[in-house]
Amino acid sequence: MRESPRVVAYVATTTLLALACVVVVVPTAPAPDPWTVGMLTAVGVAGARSLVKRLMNGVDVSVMFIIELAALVLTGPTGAILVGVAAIAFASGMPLVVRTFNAAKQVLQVALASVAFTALGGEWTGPSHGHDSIPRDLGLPMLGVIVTMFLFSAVAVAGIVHIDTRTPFGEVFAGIVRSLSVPYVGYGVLALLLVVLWDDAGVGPLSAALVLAPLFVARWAFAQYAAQHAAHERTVAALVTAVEAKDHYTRGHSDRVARASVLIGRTLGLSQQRTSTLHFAGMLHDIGKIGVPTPVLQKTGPLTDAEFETIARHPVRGLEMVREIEFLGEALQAILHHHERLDGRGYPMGMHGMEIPEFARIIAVADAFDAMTSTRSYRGARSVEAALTELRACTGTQFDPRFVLALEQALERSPWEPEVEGDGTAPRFETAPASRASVVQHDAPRPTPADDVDVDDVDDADEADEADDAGRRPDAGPHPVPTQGGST
Amino acid sequence: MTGLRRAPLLTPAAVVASLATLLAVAGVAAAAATVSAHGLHSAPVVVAFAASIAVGECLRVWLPGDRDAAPIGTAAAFAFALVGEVGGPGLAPLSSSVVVGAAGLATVAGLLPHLLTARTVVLDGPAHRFVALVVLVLLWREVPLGDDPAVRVAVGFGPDRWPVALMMLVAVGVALVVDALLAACVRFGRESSRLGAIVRDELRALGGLGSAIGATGVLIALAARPMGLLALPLFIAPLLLTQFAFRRYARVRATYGQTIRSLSRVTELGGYTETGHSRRVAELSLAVGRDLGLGERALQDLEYAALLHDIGQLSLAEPIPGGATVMAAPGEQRRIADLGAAVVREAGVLDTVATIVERQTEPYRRRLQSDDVDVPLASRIIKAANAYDDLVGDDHSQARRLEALERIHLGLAYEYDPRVVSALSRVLQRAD
Repeated sequence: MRESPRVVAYVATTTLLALACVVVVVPTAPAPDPWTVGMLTAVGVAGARSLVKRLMNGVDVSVMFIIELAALVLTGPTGAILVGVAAIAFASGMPLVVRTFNAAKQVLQVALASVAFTALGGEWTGPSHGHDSIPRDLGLPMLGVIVTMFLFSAVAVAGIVHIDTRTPFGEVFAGIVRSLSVPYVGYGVLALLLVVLWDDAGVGPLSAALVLAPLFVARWAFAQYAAQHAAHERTVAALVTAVEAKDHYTRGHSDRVARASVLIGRTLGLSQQRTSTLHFAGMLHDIGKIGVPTPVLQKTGPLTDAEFETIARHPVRGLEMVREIEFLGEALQAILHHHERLDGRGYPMGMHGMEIPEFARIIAVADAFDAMTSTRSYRGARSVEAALTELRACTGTQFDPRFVLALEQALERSPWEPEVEGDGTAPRFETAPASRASVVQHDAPRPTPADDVDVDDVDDADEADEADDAGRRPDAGPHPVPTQGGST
Repeated sequence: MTGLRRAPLLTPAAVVASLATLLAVAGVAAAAATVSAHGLHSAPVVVAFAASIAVGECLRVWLPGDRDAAPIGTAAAFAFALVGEVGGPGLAPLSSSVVVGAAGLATVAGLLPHLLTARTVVLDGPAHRFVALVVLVLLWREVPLGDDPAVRVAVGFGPDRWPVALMMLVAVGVALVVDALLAACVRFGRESSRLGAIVRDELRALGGLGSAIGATGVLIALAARPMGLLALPLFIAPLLLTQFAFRRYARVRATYGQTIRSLSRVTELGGYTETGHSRRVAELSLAVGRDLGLGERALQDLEYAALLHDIGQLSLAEPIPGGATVMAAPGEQRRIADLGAAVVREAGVLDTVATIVERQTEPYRRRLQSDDVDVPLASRIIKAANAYDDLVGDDHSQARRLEALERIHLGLAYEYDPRVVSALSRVLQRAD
């Protein structure tokens, strides 16, 4: 994909400014210790290839920031520029425009940060083994460096996102600052610790390995968590699909009910945890139907009392089957009560109104919606509008009006795709919105299935607000990361 | 895999209260001994490390595989064992006995909140960790390795400290391995498995979190000279993130297991299999797998495959009468296995399990052919366990069980793997 001329012009300007800075800074700054620069570059290059991964909301382990910060303090501006540019040069899978921009930004932020460092009393001491007072001689100047680098980076990235996507600059900038300032405080502290160990404690390059080890391990564990979480959802989907195989007409039903319930839940602003539980409730709500003989399930005519009895037992059977799964929590009540009606004429308990658990009321709406919009043995599918009209007509007696309204609102924003079959491979939650800042996104490797279910996709997918979303993505952060990692 | 946590040894509040009193008395005595040995200014150092150990011990995590770890407490204890000067020169290093005593008291103090809330208290985890600490203290402070240990503790070798850091890492590694070996011994004592397999599992489990713990301990000890006690909270913070990540990982793993165990019952509720069949086959398969020395990962795949071995029946329009697949025609059995593998493969993440399910009906050796070594061991285990459960049926009399085992013995060398069958006999004998 070709970049727009505006983007190219922006990158070219940044690059020219950076070159000017190099010409001014490098001859005046003290010559860096080659050994220290070499070791930091090695760590940086190794880090650039593998160390970026979004962990939780807004928390990503961007080890490069730590290394660059430490390089600035330990080797001075020339060394920091070398380390940063080398890491970017060796990073894989990035278009040239992005690399150039990142390198230029790197140079400029180092130049600005070194001004802040010396202004606050920092000294380029080289390998000196010690500061008289760590807070005064190291802490305060480094604070200046962190703030400068962070703010400059946020401005530069917000600028390119603004030019590329025409999202208001202020919005992008605020998004970045909001979502990334806390993690960067953490990186700043780690960089300070790294400098103290390297220099004051005299441990040298080994300290980089020691300081980064817990972060590596945390990253590994989060990756395992994400993989297991995805595996769990897929396994449930596969087993549910196997159960649904009994009745051709209900194929994909559970998956669609889960999706519709999640739409309702998001519109209501449920927490990520509860949304995930609601998703499982949707997936498993009909699992008890395995106990109903296939002919009864597929019967088109009116049911006899005995047949109705068998069908009416499915919520109880479903609950029996999954009650030992601890994490299901609220979902268990939803499975048991998803056929209750507000007027008390439902089953199995005949509960009234708000006695019915909240999730059961949500599932009831989603269940009826999907039943109406999909083809059954005895009739064709109805349109979404017709189904919503029908749901509205039944609010108060059968459905909770709040949730019917929430479903309507959700469908206004994202159109319903009834044809997406629950084949167990479709992503459980829609991933990030389609419109993205192309300069930081294109050519990114295709997300792997495990990456797809990043822990905060539940949040992200709902963000119609592009700017906010840009701020959340690690690659749009103040430090456009050299590796894409495909984490969004 | 679960349900191995021991019953609480001490719960009543009275015991807790007396223990707390005892601890307080011991603490005062230890403090007096420390102050008399090192002077009053060493007190903050001892208190800070002991408090970190106690808090860390209290914030324990359960790791995948039913392991108990206290990353923060262990890191603080290791740092305490290694630390020399705190906040610059001038303070004489603490003696080994002070370190061991304070760390021991702190470990017990960290258990108190768990006792007070009457939570299940497992004592072997804290016990291994304490032994590992003692080993580290002895290695670092008492063993004369080339130079005087007192010099090693106090200053290292001049301005460059990376050799000290390396030596610290080696010592910490030894202590962590000791911890893992002790855990392996305890596990060996309560599971009928092979010691080799357990040791391998424990050492593998040590890898990730262990390196984070060891690195943090070394970091605190090294940074304490320039930074003083501030090094403790600052370096523990990243470890908190690590611990949090592991907790989530362990939780989702446990949940995954529960889900498969629960959903494997769909075949029973649908009337395709006998009640409890999948679970019994899974338990028996696990016991046989342990007896044969399978590792943790292999055991997990075996358990999931055994739970899901009949899932293919869902794809049949109606249940086979009787359901028991060992009595069904071989072609039918084969078809169910293939259908089951297809269902499991659909999940996209359980391919090993799918293969095990797929090959569960294959005979151990075909007539007039050489050994078919390609059939996974797990499939052979499930084949035997499944046949045994089908043959025993509802009637659990001694005679019926012997008869079932005998019928399996008749198929030895062709249908069933002799190694699996003898393991099965051992397992059944132990259960009697």
